Amino acid sequence: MARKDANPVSGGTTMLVLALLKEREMYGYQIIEELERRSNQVFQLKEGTLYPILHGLEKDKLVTAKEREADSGRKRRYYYITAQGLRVLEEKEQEWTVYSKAVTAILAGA
Amino acid sequence: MTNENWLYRATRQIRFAPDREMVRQELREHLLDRRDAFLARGLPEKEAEEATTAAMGDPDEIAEELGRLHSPWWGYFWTATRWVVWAVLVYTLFFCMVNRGYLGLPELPQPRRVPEAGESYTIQYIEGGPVREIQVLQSWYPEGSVELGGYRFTVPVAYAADLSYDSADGDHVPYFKLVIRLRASTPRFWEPLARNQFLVLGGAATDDRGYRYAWGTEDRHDLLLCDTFHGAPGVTWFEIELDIDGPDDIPAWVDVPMGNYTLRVDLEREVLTR
Repeated sequence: MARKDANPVSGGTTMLVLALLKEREMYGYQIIEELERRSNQVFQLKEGTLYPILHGLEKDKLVTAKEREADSGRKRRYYYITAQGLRVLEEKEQEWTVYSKAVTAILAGA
Repeated sequence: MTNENWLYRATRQIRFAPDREMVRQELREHLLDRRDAFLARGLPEKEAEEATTAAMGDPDEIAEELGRLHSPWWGYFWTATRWVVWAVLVYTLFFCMVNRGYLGLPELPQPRRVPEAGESYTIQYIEGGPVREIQVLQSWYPEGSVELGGYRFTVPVAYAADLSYDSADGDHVPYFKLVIRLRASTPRFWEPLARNQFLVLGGAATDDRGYRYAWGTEDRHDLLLCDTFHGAPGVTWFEIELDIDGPDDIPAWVDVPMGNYTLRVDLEREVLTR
């Protein structure tokens, strides 16, 4: 089961990480780079905090990890999204859509 | 803070060592990537290292999270499981070696070769006593096995032997025996199979003709545990000898008492049954 996120920031990060892994498998450093690049440096989390998130996802079986050699020849731990991870991501995306619509509606009315 | 220092602090709350090493390796790769990126931007080495640890965040905070996620119990459990699996494998291998009959494999060589009809061998019953030559007259190889009281019995061979000898007075003394070799094995390899374990003193073998082969009775026939020879833990061979009158005095079957049970060695049909 998905972990209940007490911290909305880490909850959001979880969704973003799953969304990135939906496209392709990545290792930790790649995820950080992608997050920064795509958000135009808006998302700049402390990089070490990514790993408790990844390991938590792995523990919840939303992702699996496999060690293999990257093109550079160094051993990397690649993360893959699981079927369960895809389902959870879909739920989160829906929640997010509802939430952002609500916020937009309130802001527009104000 | 050096990279290694940061690594140490960030992972020190992971109590299961193999897990800790794996996480440390993963984080180490990340630190190297980040440092390389800073170096590529032209930062001097020392500053690059400082910038790297700063970018990674507070190692103690991360340590707490990682320690909570990586419970040592799974690790301990897996380690224990691996040991159990190994133990079971080793035991199974051992079991298969001792009890090859279960798998339909040929038995391992016996400590003493199976005599065949027409062969002769010598035996010394008493240390320093006369060495007797024994002529094997006929041999049987009863098929089948019997499970009794947690032991598996087979009869690798039974044979009639001529032990006739000349006495000190020069008389020719006719002396014949029917020897039944029994093999007992148990999967409980820790159990030592002791000498005489399977023969109850005072127990008597009987045959189809109503003879009792009893030790220390007036009967003509004796049941005697002649020899025990150990093969491996969990397996033993022993022979019982029955007095017979001659090569024509062979019973069709013999019932051998084995604790509370009886094994029937059927020579006519060459099978072992209960």
